[in-house]
Parts: sequence; structure tokens; C-alpha cells
Amino acid sequence: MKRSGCGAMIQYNRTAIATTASTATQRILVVEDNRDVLCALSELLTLLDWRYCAAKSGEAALEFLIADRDFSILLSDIALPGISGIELAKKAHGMVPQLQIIFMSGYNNLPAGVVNFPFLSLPKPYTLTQLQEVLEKARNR
Amino acid sequence: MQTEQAAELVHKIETLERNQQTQDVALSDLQQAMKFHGDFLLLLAHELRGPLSALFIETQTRSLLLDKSGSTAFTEDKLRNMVARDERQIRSMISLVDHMVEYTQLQNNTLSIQPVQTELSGLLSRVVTSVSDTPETEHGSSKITLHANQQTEGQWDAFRVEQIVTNLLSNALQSGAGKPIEVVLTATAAQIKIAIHQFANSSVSNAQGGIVDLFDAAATGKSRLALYITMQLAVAMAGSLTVTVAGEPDHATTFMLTLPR
Repeated sequence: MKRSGCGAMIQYNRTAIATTASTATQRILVVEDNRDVLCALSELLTLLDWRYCAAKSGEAALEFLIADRDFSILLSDIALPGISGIELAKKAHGMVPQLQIIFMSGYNNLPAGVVNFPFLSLPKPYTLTQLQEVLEKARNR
Repeated sequence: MQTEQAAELVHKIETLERNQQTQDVALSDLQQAMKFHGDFLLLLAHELRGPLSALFIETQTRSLLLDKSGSTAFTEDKLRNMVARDERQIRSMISLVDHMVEYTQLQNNTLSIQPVQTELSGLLSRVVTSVSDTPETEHGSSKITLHANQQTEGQWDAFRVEQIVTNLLSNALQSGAGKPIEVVLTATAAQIKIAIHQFANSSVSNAQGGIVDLFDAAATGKSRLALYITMQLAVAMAGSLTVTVAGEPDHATTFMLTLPR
């Protein structure tokens, strides 16, 4: 296994991976296709004491969900190669209806009516405070 | 007398109507151009937020690390990785700024196209080697195979051809999901064709339609700006760039660059 810029958290020849040793009970599924953003975000979530799994595509995230549905929050980029963040959220919501969805996007607004379930938005680029706030909001829903 | 006046009146009305139609067409063209320009700026803003996000998260993570553990949190290995990540994001922003300049030059018809004697199979070989050597952290791990055995000489702007093929290959690698990519050069007396077959789901659903269609396909790829510029570069070289997406079973996508000889 090659090691990436974020330590042992990402395996190159697979599409996913990462967990923290945090004692927090709720777990986040993070999906971002930019490896550098994924690394930095993973490190930040570790520092903030969140448990998470990181996937670099919608397909990899679905594999995670099929194997283990114990996630409370889906934190996903919208623009992903292959299946989009929106398609992923629809499928994930179908599999785990109580899953809280947070879309990260460089676009200011998600077009209305694209999904028929509640979701939260995190516009890029975001501050640490914005990230914490949206995660807390999702956790307390 | 009255008949003459009536005929003159009819003629004036017809002229006015024609002028009105011309103005309507011009207004419609202008509105389309303005919408197009707005779409482009939105797209650019969106693309810039990607690397900006990475840098922003990095700085906040470092600040948090400093607060928690001081400078001991930054080992040499960690620092080197951070610098490498920063450099990739900065290069990405430089590339976007270049696209912005090229877009403006295309709009103003001031983009430089300088045809010189060029041999395409060698050029393609160099591009494929260069793109394949790009670190895996920037691209996917798809293997690129080049089929260009015959020397193909002609007058083209080598820099622009290289730019187009690099953009197309980068796009194919990013959305390639590890599937193979083939580059095929074919030539006739009148034109050359460079096909890039990507044996994976397309990053664009209807790329032929230009920026609006690419923008509409916002959720399916991150190379829309580069693809748009690439299409316009092909047009500026009196050529074309088409995209076809095959159906089942492999959903292969073919980007076809055609240039006159």
C-alpha cells in the first residue's frame, strides 16, 4: 500500500478509506473526489474528534453503505465523476432514510426540487466554524 | 396619386418591419452572448472554489494543529506532503487563470494560433508520456495506449494541439475510474483525426452543445471549463471537437478532434 499525503488514511489502489479512533458515537461518510481536499478534510475531522469514513467517489461511498449502514451523516460534494453527489444522496437516503445529508458545493444554491428529502448545504470554500455548525445541525436533527 | 402614396406607405412599413426583425435577431444574439458570458463566469467561480477550498481547509487544519500541539505537530514528512498539496492547488488555480485569459482572447478574436510544420505522432507520444507521468494524486490510474504508428506531417499550431490533447487526456483520466484510455491518430489527405476513447462513464452527458450543456451537466464532472476552452481552441484552428457517448455495455466516450491539413 502506498501512503498518501494524509498518512495511512487513503489507499491508492482502492477508492476509499479512513477512520478515526474517536469515541464520538455518530459517524460521517465523507465523499470528495479531490484527493487533496479529502485528505485535508479528513485531518480536520480527526482534529474535531468526528468518526468518519472517506470515499473519493459516489460508487465507493455506496460500497461503504452496502457493507455498513451505521452512518448518521453523508457529507458529499455535488460534482463527482461517475454518479453525482445528488444521485448518491438519493440512493443513500433510500438505503438509510434517517441519514442526514450535507451537500458541499462551489455553486451558491442547489436548484430547488432536485431531491425530495431535507438536506443541508455547505458552500465552498467553508470555514472551520461553518463546518462545525453544519455538522452539529445535522447531528441534532 | 393615392395609389402611389399607398404603395410608398406599404414599402415604408415593410422596411420598418425588416429593420425590426433585424433588431430582434441582434437583440436575441446579444442576450444569448450575455447569458453565455454569465454562465462562463459562474463556471469559473465554481471551478476556482475547488482549489481554494483545499487551501482554506489546509490553513485551518494547520492553525488547529498549531494550537493543539505546537510546531511538534509538523514533522518533515508532513510538511513535505503539505507543500506538495499546496503546490497542486496553486497550479490548478494558475491553469484556471490561463483558461480565463484564453476565454477572453477567444471572445476578442485575439487568441494566437501559429501553424508551423508539425509531426503529430511524435507530438502525441510526448503528450501521452507526459500525462501518464503525472503523479497519481492528481489523476486517476487509467492506462493510456497510443495508436499512431505513421508519421503525420502538416501545418498546425503544435502548442495548441498539445494543449487540446493534454486537456482531453486529463479529463479522461479524472473521470476514467481506472479504465483504459486509447488515443488513435488517423489521417487523410484533407484532414487528421485524433480520437480519445475513454472506456468509462462519460464526464459529460452532452458535450457537443457547448458551455450551457456542459454547465447543465454540473453534477457530472469537474473539467467543464477546460473542455469548453478545448472545444473553442479546436474551432479557432478551423477544426472541430465532437463527443459521442456509446450505449451499453461499456458507455465508452469518444472525444474526436478533427483538424484540416
